[in-house]
Formats: sequence, C-alpha cells, structure tokens
Amino acid sequence: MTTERTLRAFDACRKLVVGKLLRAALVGLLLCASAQAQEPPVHWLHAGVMPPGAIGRQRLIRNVPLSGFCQPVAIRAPQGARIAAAAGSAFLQGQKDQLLVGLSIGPVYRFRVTEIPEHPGLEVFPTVELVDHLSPPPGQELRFPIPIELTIDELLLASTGRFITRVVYLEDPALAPAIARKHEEQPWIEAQPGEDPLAVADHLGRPMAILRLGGRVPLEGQVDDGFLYGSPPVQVYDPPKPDFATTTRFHGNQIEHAIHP
Amino acid sequence: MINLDATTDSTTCFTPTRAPAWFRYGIAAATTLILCSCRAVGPVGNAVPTANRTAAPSTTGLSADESRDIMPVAYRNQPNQTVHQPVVQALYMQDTHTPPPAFRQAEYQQRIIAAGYDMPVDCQACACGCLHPRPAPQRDEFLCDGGDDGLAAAVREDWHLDGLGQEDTVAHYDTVDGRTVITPSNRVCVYAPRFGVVRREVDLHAYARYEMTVGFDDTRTPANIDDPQRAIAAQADFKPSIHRAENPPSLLRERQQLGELDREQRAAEVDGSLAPYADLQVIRAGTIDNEQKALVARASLAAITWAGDQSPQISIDSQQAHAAVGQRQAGVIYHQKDPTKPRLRLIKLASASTAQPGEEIEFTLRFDNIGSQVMGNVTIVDHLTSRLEYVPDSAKSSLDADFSLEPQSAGSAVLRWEIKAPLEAGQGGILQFRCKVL
Repeated sequence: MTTERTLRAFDACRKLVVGKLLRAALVGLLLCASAQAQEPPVHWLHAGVMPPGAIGRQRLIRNVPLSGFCQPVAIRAPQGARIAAAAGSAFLQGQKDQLLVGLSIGPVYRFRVTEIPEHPGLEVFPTVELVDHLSPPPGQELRFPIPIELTIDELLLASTGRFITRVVYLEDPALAPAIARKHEEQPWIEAQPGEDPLAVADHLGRPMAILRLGGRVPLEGQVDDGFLYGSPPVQVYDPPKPDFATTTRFHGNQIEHAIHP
Repeated sequence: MINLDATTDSTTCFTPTRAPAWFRYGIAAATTLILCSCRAVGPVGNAVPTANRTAAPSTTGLSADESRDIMPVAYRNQPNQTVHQPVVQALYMQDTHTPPPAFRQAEYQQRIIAAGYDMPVDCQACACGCLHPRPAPQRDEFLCDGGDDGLAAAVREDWHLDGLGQEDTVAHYDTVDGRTVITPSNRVCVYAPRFGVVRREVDLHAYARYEMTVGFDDTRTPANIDDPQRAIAAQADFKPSIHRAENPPSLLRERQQLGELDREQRAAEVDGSLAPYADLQVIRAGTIDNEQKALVARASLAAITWAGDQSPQISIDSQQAHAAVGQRQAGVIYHQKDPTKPRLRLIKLASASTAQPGEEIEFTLRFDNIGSQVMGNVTIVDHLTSRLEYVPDSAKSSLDADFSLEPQSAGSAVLRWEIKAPLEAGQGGILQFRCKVL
C-alpha cells in the first residue's frame, strides 16, 4: 500500500524531473551551438573526394564573401612543358614552364599540359579548384601567388590512368618545420590509405587549392563544356621577371659604400 | 485501508505550474534566433569585410589618426601570472590597462587591412573580377618576431630565462637597488607565406587485375590444369609497379643548403653602416626626429598592428606601469611615475615587410636607458621562430657584448647579447643580425 503512494508521488515528480531535463537539454544545446560557432574555419563538412567544384562553391556561401576575388596562382610544370588554360571550347596557346593566372574561388579550371619532356604527344588535363585566398600587401599580389606544382612523375602517372589529388595548404607558422627549401620546390606528404587529404591539410595549415590529375581525357576533337567545366574566365599574367631589387634592397647603400668608399 | 484513488500527498511533491504562453513563445523565438545566428557569425580573426568598410591608413601613415591616444600594449587579462613562475629576484608583472571597447577592437582589426586592393596588372580588366575591399589578412601568412607573447618571461638566479617562447624578444637588466626588470620589444611581422602539399594517389590499375583473370581460360587444357606457376606468374605481372601509399614518404625532400653567395653581405660587414630601413635618428642616436616618424612607422608598421593585442603588459616594482608612447610609435616605454625608477626602451625593426623563402631579413634592435639610473647586466634575448634561420656571423653590436647562439629542440634558436659594461642613463646601443627565411 505504501508502495502505491510512493509510486503516485514519484509519477508527479517524474514530470518535474522531465521538465528539468528538458530545460537542461535546451541550455546545453544553446551552449553547444555557441561553442560550435567559435570553431576554427576548417573543412569539417568537406572531403577531398568530393566532385570538383563542390568545395569551392560551398565556400562561397559560407563564412566570408569571396565571390569575385581574383587570386593569382602560379602553376609550374617540368622544364619545357607547356601549360594552357581553357577558353571557350578550346585551350589557349599557353606558356612554357610556368603559368601565372588569376583565378576565382568556386569554379573549376581545366588546364592542358603538353610538350612534356621526353614524352612527345602526351597530354594531361589537370583541374584546379581554389578554396581560399591570400592577402599580401598591396602591389605584391603577383609576388606571392599560390604555387601549384606539376611534377613529371605525377604527369606520367596521370597519363597511365591513375588519379592524383594534391591539396595545397598554407603552413601554420607555429607548426612549420625548420627546413630550408628552394623557392621552386614544394614538399609534399602522402595521405595514408583511408585518410582524406583535405582533412590532413586542415590539420597542418589552411587549404588553399586542390589540384586533380588524371581521370577524364577528352575524345579527340571533342572538348565539350562539361569537360572544361564551362571554361570560367581566367586572367593570364605575363611571366614574372626576376626581382633583383628585392634581394639587394636593404644592402643598397652598403654596396654603394663598398664600391665608392 | 488506504484509498488508492486518493490524491497524492501534496507535501511530497508539487505539480509544476505551466509557464505563461508569452514566456514559452519568447523562449522558442530566442532559441531559434540564436541557433540560426550562431552559424552565420564568422569566427574570430576572420573578419567579414563590409561594403562600407573604409580602407586602412596608408602604410606610411604616421599622419593618419595622429590624435588618437591608444596605447600599444596588450589587452590580455592574465592576473598574477608571475605567481607560478620560479622566479627569484625577478619582477615582471602585468599592466592593468583597461581592455579597449568593442569598437576600438574593430579598429585594431581594420589596421591590419592593407590599404586598398589594387591588382597591379590589368586589374580593371581582370576577367575574374576584383574585390573591394579586400579581406583582412590572417595571422598564418606572417612570420612574427618580438614581444613576449604567451607565458611571461622571467629570470632565475642563474640568469636562466623561463617562459621565453618562440618569437619572443626581451631585455632584462639589474637596477641599482638589486632588482631584475624585464622589458619586451615590439613585435615585427613579415609577410612570408609558405606552402605545403598533401597528396593522394588512387591506383586505378586494380581493374586490370580483374580483366586478366580471363587469361585463366587458356589454362583449362588438361596439360596445364595442375600447373600452379602460371597462375602465380599471371598475378605477379599485375602487381602495381609503384604503390606510394604503402610507403609513407618523408616530409623532407631537401635538406638544408650548405651555403649561398654572400658577396653583398661581406661588403656590408666591412662597411658597418646601417641599412636604409634602419638609418634613422632613433636608431643611430636614440632620439626621435619628427621628420623620420613616417620612416619609423613604415619599418615597424606590422609591429604596431600586431602589437595592438599581442604585446605583453608591464608593471615595474609591483606598481602599475604606464605606456608612454602613442599608438604609432615603434618602441614601447614602460615606466613609473617616480622619476628615479629605471626605464628601458627596446625598439625592433625589420628590413623588409615581405619575404620569400630563401631571402634574408635583417633585424635591428635599438635599446636605450631613458631612466635616471644606471643599469647593470643588460641582456637582450631573442628567440627566433622556427622559420627564421640565423645567418652565421651576422650578429653585430655597437657596444661591447658577449653574443651566444643556443639552438632549440624545435629547430629555432635563441640569440643572446650580454652587454658587458653598465648602461648609464641616456646611453643606448644597436644590435643587428640577419635571418634567412626558411
């Protein structure tokens, strides 16, 4: 009998407890939402295996307004190879060794690499997708482009049917190793099997661009809009000239003193 | 017999009363608003430029906002940070400046936005468009050196420095009354982005393996059924020749270069003159010339912009210290109202505001005893960041000093100058060294 009373009393309390739990859950949800809003701008919702263009287009509708931003990109190929950007339904003449172009975040840009050394007739069609941008000092945008390197090994691998994804990221200065490197060389690490290269790049720094090699090859004389992703407009810059003034800038008077003491 | 249908004892538990409707609807509306707005707010440090956002002042803009009285000191709240320090006879306490209001912080954010966005080559005809105004630069694009960020530095009895993190530059000295005072420099930031690559290769040759199984049809003749070698050989032919995914590559593709041409630097050392960026009155003699304020501002512009919320807070002798300089001045002077208290000014300049990997940057440190007392055991310590490699034999000092270089485990290095002679009131000196950007 007493048990019956206790159960009835508990039943009433249970409603109160449920109400408290609901309120606690609501408060917790609010706190979690606020905490998630402060999360760093990493690509939690993206993956390197997403279709070309998906990440860049999602970036346009998230976070900061990036539409229309013109980011210089330097695409470097092996010595002697020619790189050309797509224009309309064909490719431009292109430039040798290096192509400096201005790209936007969002579209997918198709390029053609020809005249590969020791492989005449071989053509590779990589794509580049920007996911972020740099903010160099005014007037030095072309001095600090995003570098994208096409190595001869990867071009040959792509020509044999393999698919290569390279995620170029900006190193975090706090995590950057103290390793000297040449200006023209780009170190790379391999994403382990099962790892997403975009997620790995997110841990190491800030992903800037995605290069995809291999995959589709157009039929001869049939370059369609789908293959060129609509040929988004590309700003092609002249090849950069050596900036000798930069290297001797702060030693100018000393050199002069040394020559004309 | 107890009636089971009787109502529950009211003293055991109260039935909760229902909140009024306006309260419940208000909670629901507020929750919806917060949940929707949280995802739309950008994270800190990734400021969203707005259409009405004006361009930042000119890079030589000493004249801009001249009248603003904002002290370039830190706004971190780290009370009693020295309590947990293993410090003996060391004083380094925090300034108690009030953090700036929200609208001032927004101004600080704006200060690091470059003035205007001018694409240098055919920007007007840029096919992919130009963005006005340009987004604010982010911290990971810069290499910074100077200041005392993070854990505050402190000096032990054996002159060992604790809490000197990467990028920190501090000076410590002894006063006539036996105290040890630490003064950080301003922070200098150089635009030097460096890139890496994460690669993944998908081997599509797995399809060939299935196609070649058709070849087993040829082995169904009675003569070859029991021949296992043929099957093994067929599979071995289609093993991937290169499977890089199983071989984790090293991060290093190239080791440090042995050396480079330094003919210009050799001439500079012989001459011993100051580079143009540091050939200023405040560096040469420690006095500020109004005509050269713009040059000082240009050489330390990044330092000012970054020091707004990253430089440490100072107090001397357990009393509040006051920053005696304006926002546009490179050096930071910490002093107390008592004129007999020691004061040290430490200014840091960089030869370039941008650098590519492989280029060299020259740093200049100007220190002055601007107090009324003599200072003893003046020591300037600079902990370089890991991407700055000290150029051997490039350290120079205008005063007689012992220089030492101590490599650190993370690849960085600590430069240390110990001034031999006491620093009299009004006396100062210049330290210079070069670093290679890795």
